Amino acid sequence: MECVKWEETGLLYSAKELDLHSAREYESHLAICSSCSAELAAYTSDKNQFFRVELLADAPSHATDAEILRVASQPIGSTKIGFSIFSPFFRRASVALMLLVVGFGGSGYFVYMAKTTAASKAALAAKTIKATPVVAAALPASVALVDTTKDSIVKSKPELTNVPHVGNMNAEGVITVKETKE
Amino acid sequence: MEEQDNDKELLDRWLHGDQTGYSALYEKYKTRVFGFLMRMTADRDRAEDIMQDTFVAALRNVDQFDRNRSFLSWVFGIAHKRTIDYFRHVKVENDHEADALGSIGSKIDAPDNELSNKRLRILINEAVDTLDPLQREVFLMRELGDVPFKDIAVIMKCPINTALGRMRLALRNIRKELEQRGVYGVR
Repeated sequence: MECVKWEETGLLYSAKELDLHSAREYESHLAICSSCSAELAAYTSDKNQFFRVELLADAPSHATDAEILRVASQPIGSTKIGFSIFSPFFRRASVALMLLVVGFGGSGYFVYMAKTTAASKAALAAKTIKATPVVAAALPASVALVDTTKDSIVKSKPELTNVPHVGNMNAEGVITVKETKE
Repeated sequence: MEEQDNDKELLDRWLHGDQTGYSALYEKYKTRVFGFLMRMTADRDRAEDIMQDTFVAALRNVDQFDRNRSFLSWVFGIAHKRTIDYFRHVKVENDHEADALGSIGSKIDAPDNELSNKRLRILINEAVDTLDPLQREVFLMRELGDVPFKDIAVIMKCPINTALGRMRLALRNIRKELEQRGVYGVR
């Protein structure tokens, strides 16, 4: 049966991470614990036979070597900005930036459109309630018709003389119709 | 300790404008870091990408390097973060794992008394591939990077006892895999 001290202390001992006092203590334990000494012997053997750097390591491609050494060969300050546009970092940053722009732009457009539509509907509703119909036939040609579905702009001042029915616009842009006697 | 001092000297040379300093550090450790990335991602192209990211990030953030730690531990820490990003963004196919599991016992018909390095390399890496990713990571950081357990715990944001437990399980599982392949005990 495996001794708990192997996991707690034995691995640290084998990695030379114990302080001197703890290492001495564990060595005393090793002398009396067959499980720990067997584990340590097996680990040391595995390390020598299987866990060798040349068996576990791998070489990157020459292109990767060249790219990293190219960046390293630049002056220190410039490595923060002087990187290849083909580098993975730049590629990912570009994609992220594009997604951000599209995301924010798109959502901003929809928010703007929603607000604009709501505001124009509200304005239209208010004007429809306030505006009084103008009798177009009663106005002379020089008087521009007021489109109540848009802003109430009177393009020219109406002539009031000799007109049986005229519309007067007050300060609020509401046109009232008065009947005049000839 | 002597190794750490030597690395710091190379880093200082680079910081003082001698470009061979970083090249020497890179040449010294590139196969270890790349081996780690290959085992973790099981994808050469992705490993090459993360390799570039890792060493370029080390260059750009050299001011954050804690000189009480080893350079290799620090680089393994960066490689770990980049690998986590990879696992977050890429859905890893299970095919590779299935292939590795399916290949158990099929690579070697009869154990040789003297296994060539090439065959040993295939065997040990197949055994490492079958590990749980967390166990694999601790094992590779320890065996390839010589990263101390206390640093592994910091890098993986876990208690040191968790890191030790993962290592113990990794060793046990590798031994079991090698036994199944009929090579364990061949000396």
